[in-house]
Amino acid sequence: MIEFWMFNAMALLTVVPALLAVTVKNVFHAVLWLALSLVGVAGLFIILGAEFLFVVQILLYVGGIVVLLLFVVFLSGRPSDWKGRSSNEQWLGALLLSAVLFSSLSAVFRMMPSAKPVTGSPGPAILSLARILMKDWALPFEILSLVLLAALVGAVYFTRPDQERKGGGPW
Amino acid sequence: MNLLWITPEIFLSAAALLLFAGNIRRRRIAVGFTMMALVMAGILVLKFIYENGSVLETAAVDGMSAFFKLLLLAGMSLSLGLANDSAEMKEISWGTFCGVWLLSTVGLMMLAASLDLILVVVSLELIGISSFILTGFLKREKRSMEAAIKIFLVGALSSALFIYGISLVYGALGSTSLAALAGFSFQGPDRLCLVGGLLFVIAGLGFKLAVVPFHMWVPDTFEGAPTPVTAYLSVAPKIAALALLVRALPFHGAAGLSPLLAVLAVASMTLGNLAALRQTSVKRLLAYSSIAQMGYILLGFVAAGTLGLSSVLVYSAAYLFMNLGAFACLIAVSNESGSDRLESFDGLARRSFPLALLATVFLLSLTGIPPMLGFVAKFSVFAAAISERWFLLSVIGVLNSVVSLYYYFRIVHSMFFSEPSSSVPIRWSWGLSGCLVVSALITVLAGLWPAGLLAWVQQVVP
Repeated sequence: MIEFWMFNAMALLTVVPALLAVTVKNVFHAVLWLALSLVGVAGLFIILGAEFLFVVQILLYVGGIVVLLLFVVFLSGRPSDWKGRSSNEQWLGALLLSAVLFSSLSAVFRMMPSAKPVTGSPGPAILSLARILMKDWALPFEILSLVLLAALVGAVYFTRPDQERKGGGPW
Repeated sequence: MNLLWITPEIFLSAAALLLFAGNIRRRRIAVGFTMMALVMAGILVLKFIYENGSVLETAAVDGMSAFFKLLLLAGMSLSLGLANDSAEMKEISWGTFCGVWLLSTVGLMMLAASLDLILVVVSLELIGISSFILTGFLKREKRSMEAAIKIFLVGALSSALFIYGISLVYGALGSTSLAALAGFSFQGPDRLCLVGGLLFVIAGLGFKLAVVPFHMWVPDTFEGAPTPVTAYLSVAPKIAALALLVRALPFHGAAGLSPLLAVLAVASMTLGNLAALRQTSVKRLLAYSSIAQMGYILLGFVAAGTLGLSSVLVYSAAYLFMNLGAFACLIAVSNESGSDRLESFDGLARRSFPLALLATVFLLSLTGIPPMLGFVAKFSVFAAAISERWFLLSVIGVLNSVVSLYYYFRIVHSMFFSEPSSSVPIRWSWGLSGCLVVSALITVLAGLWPAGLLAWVQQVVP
């Protein structure tokens, strides 16, 4: 019973701030609401017994990505961002589409008899995670480093001022 | 398991790192080095062509992966030749360009060999990010940046759809391997969840393949990107995605996905061809024609079975060479005129008869007229569809080929029967003529004697 109410509380903590994040006019406030919604998701993870996901959610999303978003808002924001609407004229269509998607997905999930919430706490997840990353998934893991390299090269290339004529190596 | 089997990919990644670290700006050094790396990787792939196994059960090393890897390496080196000789690409940092080019090759080869959805996601990201960088490489030009932003946003959307679909598939199967997907019976209680997930996966891949209705980004992106990069975009990511579909396919008949793929095929062929009719820019025309060509290839997937899958392999090979050849002609012409309008092809036969002849070869092949390779490809696709009793679909396909005849031959007509607007002779350079000659030789010779290609394909398709 207590799990049921905990789940509902966390779901509310996820959904209401998420709604506010897309409806408030101030971009800065929207990011803060988003952070709160992400905390709600972390709460859902801990109820389901997924400690690792909980830690990652707090560290990566609440800690990292929200701070990154705030940086972007601070660095590239204009005064108009503080009062502009964050939705455009097509919000009704988007709302309808989301409603259809939501109802069909929830119908699919309700038809899945095997979809039972996981209870109880699993063993130490980090060690087995390390084993999976470095052994079973070593190949995707290494390719991922190439993805990061490409992203880094792209970021440097696009932000660097044009100075190909000067500087550079001997060739 | 044998880690030696991924030496081609390791080799290419190391070459890319060298290019980044060396800060090379000379075109000849960077392009020559990259070309050599691509050829070496091709030789390494050839070395493992008779192996049959996998690396860590995530990447396959077998005949089919070798087929697609060789195709992709050929495509990447031919279009690098185009980049080398394109007038658009003068003042760029070649080391960066070639390094990203090689990274994207690694992503393409990995995608073509993946046996697991996780590796698929990671390689799709590698391809997506490098395509984005290459598209926006002329960062001083507004149209290039606009195209880059479009491909970036569409890529992010399609990745999101794809990953969401994979999470549903994982929920239903408890595994991310393509083998588990192929072995699934579609009778169990989780059937709906799996089919829902597959729909998202197909939508995500649809953006990469640029089939209707996931095609809206193609014309603008293709027009804005530097033309050699457009040639790459129109060929390489699509062929790698086709390779993935071929591998993931055995399950789709049971799931009833054939009718869905048939709808996508008809929509792509018809809309692509009809939109191509009205284009005045040859670059845009080729963009719409590539949408239509993907529609024909999808017919092979609709037919499924050994025959259908072999026809997809044959069509991929044909499409690679004839499309790259068509883009090579476009670059040769627009290098002189500075424009990709249809009018710049006027009277090409009088300015350079060999070029007009080669362009005709590629356009004939794209239409699917014998004795070109494009005819063999179209024939095998339609034959596969008919053998699975998709009669109406084949008729629509043939009618569409007739429509495409009109816009491909508009170019041929203006080359041979219009007055040239300028008398400047077309200059040939080694990268451009290499791409033209190799593509034309393969299009004609494999079209005249298709037995070798067909035997190879039959050997690698399970």
